[in-house]
Amino acid sequence: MLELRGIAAGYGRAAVLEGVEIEVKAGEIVALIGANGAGKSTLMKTVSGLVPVRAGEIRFDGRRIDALSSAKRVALGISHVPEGRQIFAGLSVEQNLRLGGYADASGVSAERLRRICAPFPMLLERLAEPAANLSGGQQQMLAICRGLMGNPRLLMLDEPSLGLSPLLVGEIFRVIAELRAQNLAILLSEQNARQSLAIADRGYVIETGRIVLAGAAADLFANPELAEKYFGVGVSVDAASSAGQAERLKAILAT
Amino acid sequence: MLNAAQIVIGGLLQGGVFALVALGFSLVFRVARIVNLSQGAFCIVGAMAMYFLQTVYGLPTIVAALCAVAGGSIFGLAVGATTFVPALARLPTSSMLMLTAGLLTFIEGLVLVIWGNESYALPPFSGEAPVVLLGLRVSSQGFWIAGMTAFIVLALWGLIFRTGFGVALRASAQNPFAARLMGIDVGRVTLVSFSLAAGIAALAGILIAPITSLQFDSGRFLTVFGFVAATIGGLGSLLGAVAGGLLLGVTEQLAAGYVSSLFANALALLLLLATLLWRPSGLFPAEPLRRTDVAAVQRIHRAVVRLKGRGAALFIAALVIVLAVLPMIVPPGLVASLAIAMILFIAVLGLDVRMGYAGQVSLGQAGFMAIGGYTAAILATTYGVAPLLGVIAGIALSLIAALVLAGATLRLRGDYLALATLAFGLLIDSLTVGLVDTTGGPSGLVGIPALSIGPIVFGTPRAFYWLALGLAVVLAFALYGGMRSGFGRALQALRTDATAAAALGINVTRMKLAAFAISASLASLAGSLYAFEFHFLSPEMVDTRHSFELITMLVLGGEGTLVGGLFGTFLLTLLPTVFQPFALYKTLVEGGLLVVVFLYLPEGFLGRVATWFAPRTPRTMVESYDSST
Amino acid sequence: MTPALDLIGLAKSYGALRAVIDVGFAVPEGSITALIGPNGAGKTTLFNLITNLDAPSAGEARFFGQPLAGMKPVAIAALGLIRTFQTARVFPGMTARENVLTGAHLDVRQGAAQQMLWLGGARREERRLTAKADSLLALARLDSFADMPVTELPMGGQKLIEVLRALMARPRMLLLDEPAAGLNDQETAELAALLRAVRDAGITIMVIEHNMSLVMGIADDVIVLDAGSVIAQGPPAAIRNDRRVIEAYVGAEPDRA
Repeated sequence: MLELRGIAAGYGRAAVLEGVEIEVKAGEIVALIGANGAGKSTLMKTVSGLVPVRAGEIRFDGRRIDALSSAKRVALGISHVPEGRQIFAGLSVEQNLRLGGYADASGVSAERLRRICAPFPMLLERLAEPAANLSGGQQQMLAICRGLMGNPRLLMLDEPSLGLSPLLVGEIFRVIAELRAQNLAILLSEQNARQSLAIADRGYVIETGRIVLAGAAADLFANPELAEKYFGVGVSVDAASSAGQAERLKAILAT
Repeated sequence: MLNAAQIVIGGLLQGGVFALVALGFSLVFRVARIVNLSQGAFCIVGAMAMYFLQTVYGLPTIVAALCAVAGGSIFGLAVGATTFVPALARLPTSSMLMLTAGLLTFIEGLVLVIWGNESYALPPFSGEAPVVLLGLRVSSQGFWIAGMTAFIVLALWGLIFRTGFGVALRASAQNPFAARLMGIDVGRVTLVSFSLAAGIAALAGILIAPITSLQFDSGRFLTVFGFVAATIGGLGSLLGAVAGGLLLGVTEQLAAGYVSSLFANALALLLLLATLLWRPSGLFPAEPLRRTDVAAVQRIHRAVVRLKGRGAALFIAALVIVLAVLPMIVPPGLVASLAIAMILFIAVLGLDVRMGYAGQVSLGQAGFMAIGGYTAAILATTYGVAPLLGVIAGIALSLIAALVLAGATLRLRGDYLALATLAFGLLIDSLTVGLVDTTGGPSGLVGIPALSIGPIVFGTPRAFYWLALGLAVVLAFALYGGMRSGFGRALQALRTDATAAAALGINVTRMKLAAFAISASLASLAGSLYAFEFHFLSPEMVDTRHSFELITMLVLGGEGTLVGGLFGTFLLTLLPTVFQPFALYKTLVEGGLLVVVFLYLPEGFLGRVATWFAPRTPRTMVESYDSST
Repeated sequence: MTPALDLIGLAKSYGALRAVIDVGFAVPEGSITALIGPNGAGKTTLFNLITNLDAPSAGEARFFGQPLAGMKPVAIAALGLIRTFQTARVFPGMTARENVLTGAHLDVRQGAAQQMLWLGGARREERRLTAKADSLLALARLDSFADMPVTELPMGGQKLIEVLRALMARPRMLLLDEPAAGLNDQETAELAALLRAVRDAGITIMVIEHNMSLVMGIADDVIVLDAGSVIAQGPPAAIRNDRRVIEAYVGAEPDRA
């Protein structure tokens, strides 16, 4: 469904992503794991059209989309649930949800709203409330449900567990796992590697803008390299040259 | 009693028009978070179009009005699509403000070129005879104003809160990033809002034209009062726009009726300042509005221009020599203009320290020119004070004004600070015009003696030019010494990141004050020199229009280069003199230049030239990304 | 010996959200302490509380015994506590050298007036500071970038410039917020060497970091923050094997059926 080939992307002169190649098929969950600043969000924004592509191509359903505007990509069925929820605080829950279907010309019927929000019963109880009144976890549910409103074919979730209690995180991951049954292609980016790998089919590990590990989720899970990426061998500092540097530094700082 | 009620009715009518302009402001502010200073100019476009359609082409009133409003909207669409919307993605808030100031000047210039500078008066829609209601005389136009205002308010309300487009509008206003993810074309939404606002402004112009005579630059007046109304009422709020407009209109008329129109103008601006200082969100705050300042997110990095080494020193020396001999090689008629250019350069030097280095926008810089000019002039003519002392007194007074203004506005956010400086400039404008006994009013002060320092009298334009040149060289040299050292670095640091600067021990407040003081003193000096050069000073010579002109001159040459201002002042001062018919186009070109420079040449001409000579410094870089990480 | 930094019961709440809850620890002088923890744990908030960018809801911080409560960030910097920020906050529009020189503001004795009058003292001082900045740039192997606009430097270089800039301020302690963010392995190694040298030169360092190789490589002490509270503290080797820490970061081991 989604293919990135040789993608270099970024803001202005510096490329944040280099040589990125990933694939997400319909009906599978792919985890994108990496530390802060590794490029997970940038990758998703490149797919949804908010960050320009400098080299390479993006294909969606076989068709190149890297030259299309954000709005057109949404219309094609790409849904990006961004980091930090990003709901419309001044609108009601229902208005937020309906905006998810903005790109769909046929509009969002009441029945469709009920159907798509079925896994999130708590939202259906609060349709008229201002979205700002919801708790963090509820807003995350809102953001995910909003992302589903347009009947997307690709769903990208950027760190859905951020700032949530472990209980809520468990619930959200349960919901995501259930979405697989709807034949969605799901790209899930997380710092919480183990939990996302537990529900994913495959995974990619990204580090400073490059994919460094890829494979089946179960394999990555057991991969000792993964643990090392998080609690790596310490960078080694040559004691002798470091001492020399320290002396020079002391002299400079004294001036 | 009846009189007061009559005045209130008049105030409500005027307030209705203010409300319409304010609605336009709020509409654009909602989605773009920018105060569009050119709003009032569209009023004039509408009024002028109406005049010609109705009077010259003889179209029936309703048809002419509809065409004029439609024309205004289309014109707004064109302007928005080519300038406002593309700039929104690239420029920080302060630059956007100046861009809209440029648009205001440009549209004024356009009206001037197309329709000339005479006053026009439209016939009222329903005849001259006023209607008598409960013993009060209400101009028939008043019913049209009231009716149309109510209609527009309802229509806008319906649009924003009851239509799909309105939802897109509100979403774009609250969270443009998320709105894009929903598939909303935020740029298109902004453009439609801009165009609608232009149409509403055109309507306002058409409605008020029959009861006020309008000229090409009346747009300024409507812009100011519409903006004051919108801010007091609450920027972005529909109810606020109407409330603010009516409140302002009534207050104005009462103040003008019972005290004076000078008092009325000053009162409006004081109300604005008070609102900005104590309740910036206005009487009826709109939905949470905060522009993620583009400066923090998208940066246009100026090319780093560093003139160093022997080559640069030689260049400067050659430049000074050329400037010194200039009066002897140009036609004698041009020497007076040279003197003006050099005097303005002194003011631009100060502005560069404030805007180019410290990054503090000043939309009212000419106000300090006025203070300096009038102080020195009044002391010299009325009290016979020696010119030099008069200049010093002017500087002292300007410094006091600067400190008061700075102290009051220190805590203000960037765009509010800029608007406060605009309010200051307009306040000075109204004082120079209104305090007739002191300043001579609109006709100005005559008989200002020549500048004499001891035995030397600077009576001829040539002598004055050399004096100004000498002062400019000394000042530029001193400022360069400061800007290349710790002081200049501290200013540039706080310009881009005040928090990081403070974490390094830079006292941001003190630095800002220092930059403010320097710029105010230099502007004051320039103003005083103006008075002594022309032997005459009128409000027109130092009004807010010149504040915008100074900015254009600075930006043309290149902010943060000190020397660059020379290019801008010479170009804009000499060109109209050299090409006489050009004078009519001066306003148009000035406004256009300001817009073009902000859009395409943010480093100015000197900056661009410098990049040719220093291959390692890159062209301006544009980084653009939304939100964090 | 007085600790360089002593935090006592620091807390911060934003309405109902408790971002920092009763944090207390001491940083010995002349050490490198790493502050780690998952996203949103409150690390940057803690830095903001220490430097009073954000007022604490409770508790206090002491710098070499001096209470920092109520002091403006400018004054705290003047005491010798210098901090950097999470996203590279170099000053665009200036060269790399000029950026480094901006850090010397606290060290500048000749004021703006002397600079504008081109007095001998001011010029001498400018030369002294420029030489110092150039030496630092050379130490960090960035001297070839000195005259370049600072935004032209790669991210690693910009982060190093931030550290060098902080060094110009005659710091007694540095608070570095994610100095290694976005750096590749080689750049991280260079940063590590520099930080070690800074510590050996007698300056105390506290870093917020996600880059574990840096933390494990040079930190003397590691403090782990999660959901606003300290959940572990100790030398790197001990923290690495601490189950609570691993869980907080990588996620709890799921039940194996």
